[in-house]
Amino acid sequence: MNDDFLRSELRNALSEHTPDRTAMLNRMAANRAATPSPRGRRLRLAGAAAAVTTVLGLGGVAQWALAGEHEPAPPAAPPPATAPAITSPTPRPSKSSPTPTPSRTSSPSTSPPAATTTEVRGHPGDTQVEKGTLWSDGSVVADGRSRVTLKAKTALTSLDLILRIEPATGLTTGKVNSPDPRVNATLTRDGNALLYRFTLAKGQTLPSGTYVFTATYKGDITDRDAAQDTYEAFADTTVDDENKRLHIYGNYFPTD
Amino acid sequence: MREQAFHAFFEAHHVTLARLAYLLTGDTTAADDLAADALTEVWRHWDRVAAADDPAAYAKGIVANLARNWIRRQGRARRGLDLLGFPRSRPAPDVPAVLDVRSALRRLPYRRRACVVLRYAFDLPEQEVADILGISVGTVKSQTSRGAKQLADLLEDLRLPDQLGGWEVAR
Repeated sequence: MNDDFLRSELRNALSEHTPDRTAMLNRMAANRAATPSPRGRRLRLAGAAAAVTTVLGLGGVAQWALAGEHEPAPPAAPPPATAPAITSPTPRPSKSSPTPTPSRTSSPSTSPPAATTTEVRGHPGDTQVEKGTLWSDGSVVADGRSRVTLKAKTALTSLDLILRIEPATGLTTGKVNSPDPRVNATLTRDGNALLYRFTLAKGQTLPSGTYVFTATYKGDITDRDAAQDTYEAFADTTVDDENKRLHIYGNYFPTD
Repeated sequence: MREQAFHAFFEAHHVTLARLAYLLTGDTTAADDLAADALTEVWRHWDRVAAADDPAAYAKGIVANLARNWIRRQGRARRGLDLLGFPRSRPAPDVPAVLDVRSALRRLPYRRRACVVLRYAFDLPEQEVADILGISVGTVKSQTSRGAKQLADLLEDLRLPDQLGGWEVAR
């Protein structure tokens, strides 16, 4: 099968279609009427009728009205379908006193809370535990040990996962181990939070599968309330030859 | 001035843009709608388009984007119907003996399809295809060759009878 054959087949297919010029003009008029030009307000004032008459001339008003029934397809990508948010979780993730109000003064070692410029995602009610081919779940395995499980249905070409243990008042850093040699694990303190960060080395690919990431911490772990702990991950994967950017975030409440 | 210039652009390019959308989506009605939507975008950003090196390529890029979004919406709608338990006509599990170019094209992943269409049907240079789709020339090369191969395989049945002068083909 040679290129010339493909070329001629595709050109034939191309010329099969003769667009309906009037329908196109009508749809454009409807589009333009639906949203004002970002350039100026004068046109907006001129309104639909003016847009139709000035630009298009022909094209029946009846047809234009019909064209108006069409969805004025937005140029931007439609909003991603979000996973159902977990609302008002009743079970507590750890044995905890009803009002855990740890005093700041008891932790002289911590630096003052840094001005957090970026929003922390994953709190109850603000979760997206599944996106595309990536699924996640967080759980508190035991006092001082929190775990995030990732199930990747497709290989990941990048991964940046942060387990955020906050507040970390009275906690001393434990250790962090990577579940896979291709994934680097680091542990840092950011304000009053412990950040366990797992990053897939550049140029590496994490095959599809289940991976468990664990954060361990010591110190005042008895009766610690894990309700504010979150995790968040960005990843890239390839589906149908197209790169997909995946973003998931959640917490450690049990999902029921 | 602006309206005149745009009108000239419309007349010069609306057929090409609609045909591009037609090959990308395989749908006659959607093709005209998508091309019209793309032209609306061109009109909205006319100053930028007119200043571009190649306004026609810019418009083709918009069509390619809108077509991909449209295909995704179709996919979601179909999956929605499946979830609700509506039956839908599925293609027979075995590949039909003869495929036309359009249905063969639809089986290609979107980016491959776009590369093949722009390279083969529109005969555009690799660099221009790369600009239109916002990908690298290397990607255009690999996607085009894979896409052409896949399309050729799918279309094999179309050509063989001609080639072999009516001899029965054992396969």
